[in-house]
Amino acid sequence: MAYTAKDITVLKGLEPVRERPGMYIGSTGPSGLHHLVYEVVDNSVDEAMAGEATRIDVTLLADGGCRVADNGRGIPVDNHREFRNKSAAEVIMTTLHAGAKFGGDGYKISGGLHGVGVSVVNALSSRLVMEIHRDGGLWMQEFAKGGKPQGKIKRVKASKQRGTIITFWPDATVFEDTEFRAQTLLERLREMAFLNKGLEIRFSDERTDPKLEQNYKYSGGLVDFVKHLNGSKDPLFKRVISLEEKSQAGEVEIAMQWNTGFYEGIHSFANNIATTEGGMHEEGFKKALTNAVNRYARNKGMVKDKDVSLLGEDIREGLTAIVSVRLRNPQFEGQTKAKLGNTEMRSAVEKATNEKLGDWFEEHPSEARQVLNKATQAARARVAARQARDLTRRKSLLESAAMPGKLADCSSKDPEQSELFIVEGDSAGGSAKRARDANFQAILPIRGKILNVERARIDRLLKNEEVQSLVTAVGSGTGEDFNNAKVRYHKVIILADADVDGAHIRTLLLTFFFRQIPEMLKNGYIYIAQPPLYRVDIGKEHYYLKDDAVLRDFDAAHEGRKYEVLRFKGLGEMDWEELKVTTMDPATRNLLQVSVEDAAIADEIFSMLMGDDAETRRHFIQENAKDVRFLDI
Amino acid sequence: MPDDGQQTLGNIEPIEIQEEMERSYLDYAMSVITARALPDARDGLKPVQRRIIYGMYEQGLRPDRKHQKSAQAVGQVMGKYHPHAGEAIYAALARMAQEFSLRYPLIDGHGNFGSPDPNDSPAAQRYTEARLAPLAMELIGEIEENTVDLADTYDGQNQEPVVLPARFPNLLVNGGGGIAVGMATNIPPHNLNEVVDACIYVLDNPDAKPNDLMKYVKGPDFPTGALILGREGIKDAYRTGHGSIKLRAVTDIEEGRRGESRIVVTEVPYQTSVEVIGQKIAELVNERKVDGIKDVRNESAGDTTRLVIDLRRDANPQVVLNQLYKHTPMQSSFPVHMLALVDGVPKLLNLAQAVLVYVAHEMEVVKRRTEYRVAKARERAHIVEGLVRALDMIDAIIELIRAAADVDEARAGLMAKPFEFSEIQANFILDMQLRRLTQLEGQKLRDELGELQEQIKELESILRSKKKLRTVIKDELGELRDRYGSERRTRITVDTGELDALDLIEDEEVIVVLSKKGYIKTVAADAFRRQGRGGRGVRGGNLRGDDYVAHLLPTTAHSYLLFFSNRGRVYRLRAHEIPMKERTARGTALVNLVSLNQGEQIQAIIDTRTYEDGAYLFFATKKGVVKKTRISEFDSSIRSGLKAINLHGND
Repeated sequence: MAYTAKDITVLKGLEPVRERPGMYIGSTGPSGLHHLVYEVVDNSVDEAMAGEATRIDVTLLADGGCRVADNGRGIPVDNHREFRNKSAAEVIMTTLHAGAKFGGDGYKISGGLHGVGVSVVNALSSRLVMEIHRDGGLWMQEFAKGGKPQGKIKRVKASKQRGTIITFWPDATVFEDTEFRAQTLLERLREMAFLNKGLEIRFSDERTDPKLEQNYKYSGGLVDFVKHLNGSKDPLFKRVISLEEKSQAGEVEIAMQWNTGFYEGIHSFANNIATTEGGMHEEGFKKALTNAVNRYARNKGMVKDKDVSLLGEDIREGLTAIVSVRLRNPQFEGQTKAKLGNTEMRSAVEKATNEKLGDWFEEHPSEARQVLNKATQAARARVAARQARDLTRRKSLLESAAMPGKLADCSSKDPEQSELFIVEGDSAGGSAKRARDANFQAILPIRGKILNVERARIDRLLKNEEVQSLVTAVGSGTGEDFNNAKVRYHKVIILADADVDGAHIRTLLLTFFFRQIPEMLKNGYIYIAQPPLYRVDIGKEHYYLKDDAVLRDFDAAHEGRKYEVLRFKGLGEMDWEELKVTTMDPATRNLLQVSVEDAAIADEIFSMLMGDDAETRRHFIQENAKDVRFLDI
Repeated sequence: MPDDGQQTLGNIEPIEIQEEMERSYLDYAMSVITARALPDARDGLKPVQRRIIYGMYEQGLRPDRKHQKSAQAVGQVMGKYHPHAGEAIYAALARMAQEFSLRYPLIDGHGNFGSPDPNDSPAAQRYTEARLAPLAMELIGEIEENTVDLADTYDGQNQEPVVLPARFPNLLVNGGGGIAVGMATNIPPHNLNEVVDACIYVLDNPDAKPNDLMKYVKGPDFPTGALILGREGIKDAYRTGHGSIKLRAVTDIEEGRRGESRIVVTEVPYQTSVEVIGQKIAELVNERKVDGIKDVRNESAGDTTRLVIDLRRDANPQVVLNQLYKHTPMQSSFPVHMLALVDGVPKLLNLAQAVLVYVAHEMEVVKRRTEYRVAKARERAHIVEGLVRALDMIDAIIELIRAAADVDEARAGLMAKPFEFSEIQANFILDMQLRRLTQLEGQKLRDELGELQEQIKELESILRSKKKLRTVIKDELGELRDRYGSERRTRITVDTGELDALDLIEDEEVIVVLSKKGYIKTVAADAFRRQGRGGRGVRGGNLRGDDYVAHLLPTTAHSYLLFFSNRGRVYRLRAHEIPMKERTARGTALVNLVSLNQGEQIQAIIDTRTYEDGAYLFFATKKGVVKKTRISEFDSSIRSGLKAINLHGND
C-alpha cells in the first residue's frame, strides 16, 4: 500500500462534523441528539442575556422535527465581509467556529459554547429551515442533507416582527434514534429559565395528543431555583438567601437555603453552563461560607473554643445553593470541561459572599441560629461517623484480609484496566465468576436490595454490610475522604437482572454512588451492563435481544419463520458462556456509561425518586406513566 | 488484552444519570403498581393470587379432590405463571387459607397455616396441604366458557387469564392491602350478604350513589369480629374511598368472689393478636404506665379467644380498660384507602364505583358465557337435527351407504342431493350406532332437539335484553349469597368519643391545699389518716418561713375548682391538674398553673362537679357590694382567667 499525498484528505466545511459527530456533540446516542436542541436554544438564550430577547419557544413537531424560536434581533442577513456572496446568516449556518461570540461586540457574555455553534446542528440534520424576522422582512433559507444550502437566503415577505426561528430534523443516518424525549428537554429548559430571571421559555410537544405544553418563567430566578430544589425536601427556614454583586470580573449571583437533609447540594454555573466539576467560583463560595458562619458564631459567642470546630462540610450539610457567574472569557478545564478556571472569579465570589452573607446573618438572627445548630449537629455526627469508620478500618486490619470475602478480585492492579462487576444475587455471582477474564475483571455479588442511601444517615449506612463491602472493594473512600488515587477500578459495572427488580437495584446503587462517592460518576467510572432480555433460537442459531423493542423489530424482520423465544428472568438463568458473550466480554458486550452532566437536575431527581416525599414521587409517576419501557408480567 | 484500551470494548454509549434513574425507576414503579401490589377492581385479586388460583385449578386441586402438598401448587405457579421467589408465592397462598386473614378464605388448607400471632408463621410448604375452597371455584368457575380473555404467560409457553370470571364481588368481600410505589391500598373485608345485596341494587339502579348502597353495606366485616366505633369513618371511606375506621376489642368485666375484678377480652381487632396485646400490657405494667393490673393470662384455646387481665382489688376496672384502649392495640384504627386497578390504571374507588366496576364485569362475563352456550347449543342442535332427519329417510340412506365404495363416497352422497346434509351431520350419521334406529332412541333425539331449541331461544332472549341479562346475574348472585353467606361478625356501635384524660384518671377523693404564699398541692385524702382520740396529729405540709395554709378543700379529682382572686378574676382548674404530692410536700407555685398577675392573691376556692343551671354564686365584697351570678357563666376553661366581678378602687 502506497502512502502518498493523495491519501491525505482535508475535510471541508461541515464535513468534519459528519465524519466525527462524537467530537462535537459527545455521542450519537440520546445525549448527543438532545445536545442539538441545547445548541440552538443557547443562541436564543444569548440574545436574552444581551437583553434583546424575552421569550423562547421550543416545539417538538409531530413529524419528528424541532423548532426553536426567539424574539431577539435575528441573525444578520446582509453579506459577510469575508464571504462576499454569502449572507452572514448562511456563514453562521455552514461554517464551523463562525459567530459573533468569537470576538467582537455582538455579545458581551455568551453561554453558547457547548459545542462550536449552530452550524453543527445544521451538519447533523437531514433538513434545516432558517427563518429570520429582521429589517422589516421575513428571510428564509433552507438546508438539507447535512447542511447544504438549497438556494440563497430570500426575503419572502414583509414582516414587522423580529427574531430567529430555526427548525431542524435530526439526521437518522447519524443518530441511533431521532426521537426526542420531552422529559429530558423539560428539565434542561426549566433550568435555563431559572438561570435567566424573567426569561420565558415555552415548550410544546405536538407529537402527543393532546399536545403537551409547559411554560417556564421565573421572576425570582435563582431564588425560585433553590425553592424548587428544596421542594421535595424540608427547608430549615422559609427565607431563601439571595446575594448579588457586579464587579470588574463579572456578575455573581447566589441563592441558598438549608434543608433538614444530610447532603450538600451546591450547584454552580458559569454563563448558564453547569460546572459540575466546580471550579474557582465554587471554591470561593465555599471558603467564604465557612468563614462567614464561623465568624458570626464567634462574634455572637455561640461557639466556644473548646467546642467542636465547624468545618466547611458541617456547614454545608443540607445546604442547597446555586452559584451562578457571568463573565467575559470563561475558561473551562477538567476532564469533561466542566470546571471553571478563571482565577479572578474566586476572589469575586469570595468577596461577595463574605460581605453579603455576613450582613444577612446579622439581620436574620433566628435563621442564623438555626444554621449554627444544624452545623453543630453535623459536626457531632461527623465525629461519630469518623469513629465508626475508624472502627471498620481497624476491624478489617485485624481480619488481615482487607477486601470483603465475597469479592473475587482480578489479578491486574492497574485501576485503569481493572473492572468491577457488581452483580445482583449470589446465584448470578457464580456464573459471572466463570464468565469473567480474571486478569482484569473482578466480581462483587450483592445480595438483594441495598439500603436506600437517600433516607439514611452516614453512620447507619456504614454499618450496613453490603455497603461496607462495596466501599472497601471500590477502595476510594466516601464523601470528603474520596481519594482518586485509591480507586481500584476505573470501570465499576452494575450488572443487574434485565427485569424491573433489576431496575430498582440499579436505582439504589446509583443513589449510593451519587450521594456517597459522586466523583466516581463525575469521572465516568460507573457503567451499566446490558444483559439481554430475550434469547431467540432459530434452528441452532441463537440471537440475544436487549428488550421488547428489539424483539418487535426482530419479529418484523423474521416474519414467517419459526423460532422460539426464551425470556430471561434473571442472570442466574444464563449459562456462563451466554453471560460472557452477551454481557461481559469487552469485544461483544454493550455498556452504558453513566454521566452527570448537570448535578442540580440529578440532585433533584434523586431526592424526588428516592427521598421521603411520596407526594411528588406519585405526581412524577402519574405524569410519566406513558414513558414506561416495559412492564413486568 | 486491555492494553489497547478503548478499542477492545464492544460498544459504550453514554447515558445521563437522571435519564437512567427516571427510566429505571419508572419501570419499577409502574410494574409494582400495575402488576404486583394492587388488586384488579373486577376480581379483587393481585396477579400472584390470580395465578395461584388458576394454577391450582389447572392442576386439579379442586374442592372435590384430595388435598395436595402446598409445595406442588407453589412449584406449578412459579414455573408456569409467576417467575418470582417461591417463598413469596407460598406466603400469598397461605394468607388465602387463613380464616383470620380472609373473611371468606379462598383456599382450603390442611395443616398449620399459622395464627394471628406474628410469631406463629405457617409450617413450611413441604408440610402443609392445600386445595381450592368452594368459594374459589365461584371466582374461577365458568372460565372454560370463554368468559374472560387469556394472555400469554411470561415465557409465551402457556396462557393465563387476565382476570377471573369472579361470580362474587371479591374485592369488597375479602378486601386486601398492598404497598406499591408512591401509593398504597387498604381495603377492608365485608359481609358477603351485604355486598351482594348492594350489587343487586346497583343492577337495578346503575346510578346508585354511595349513600344508597350504605343501606345495604353497613360497614366492614372483619374475620376476627370485634367492634367498629362510630359510623363517621365508614361514611368517609364509602363516600370518598378514603377514611379511618376505629376498631375495638370485645371485652367483659367479671367480678371475682372477693370483690376483685378482671377484664376478659374475647375478640380483638383485625390484624392484631392476643399475644401482641398481652405483651404490650406487660410492657405497660413494667414501665408503670398503667396501674392496677395484677396478672395477664392468655387462655385462648381452640376457636375461642380469651385474654384475662386480673386487676388489683383497689383498681377501677373501667379506668384500666380505658387506659388499655388508649395504649394497646385493643383499640386501633383501620385506615381505608380503596385503591384498585380499573382498566389497568390505579383508581381510588368509592363504594358505588367499586360495586359498579364489578357489576359491569359480571355483565360482560355472563354475556360471553351466554354467547358461548348459544354457540354450543346450536352446534349440538345442528347434529341432532341431522340425525332426526336421517331417521326419517333411513332406508334410502342405508341403500346409499351400502352402494358406496368407501367412506368418502358415502359422505359425498349424503352431502349431495337429495339429502343435502352438512359435512358434520354426514359424519355423525356415518358414526351412528344401529341401536339408534329403535323407536325409543328416535324419540329421545326428537325430545333433545326440542329442548335445545327451547334453550337456544331462552339464551338468545338473554342476549337481546339487558334486563334479562341483569335478572340472570341477580338470580345467580342471590343463590350464591344463600349458599355461602354468613352472619356479620363485626358489630358496629356508637363511638364514645376520644378518650379524654378523665377516662384515664380515677375520680378519687383528694384534698387541695393552698398556702398564703400561693403554693398549691393535692394530697390523697387517705394520707390524712383517721386518728384516735389523743392523736398527735399528722404533719400536713412543710411550709417555708412565715407561710401558712390559707385554704384547705376536700374534693374529688374530676371536680372543677374555681379560684377567685383579690382582683376580681376567676381561674379554673380540674383538681387532678394540680400535681399530687406527698402529705408533707410544699407544693407548686400556683402561678405555674394559672396566669396570676403580679401581687394577685386567691381569696376563695370553690369546687363544683357540674355547671347545672339553677346554681348561683354569691359574691360579697369588703365594701359591702353583693351580687349573685349563675354558676354556668363560669363554664370556661380560659387559663388566663375570667373577670368575675368589677371591683372599684381598693375594694
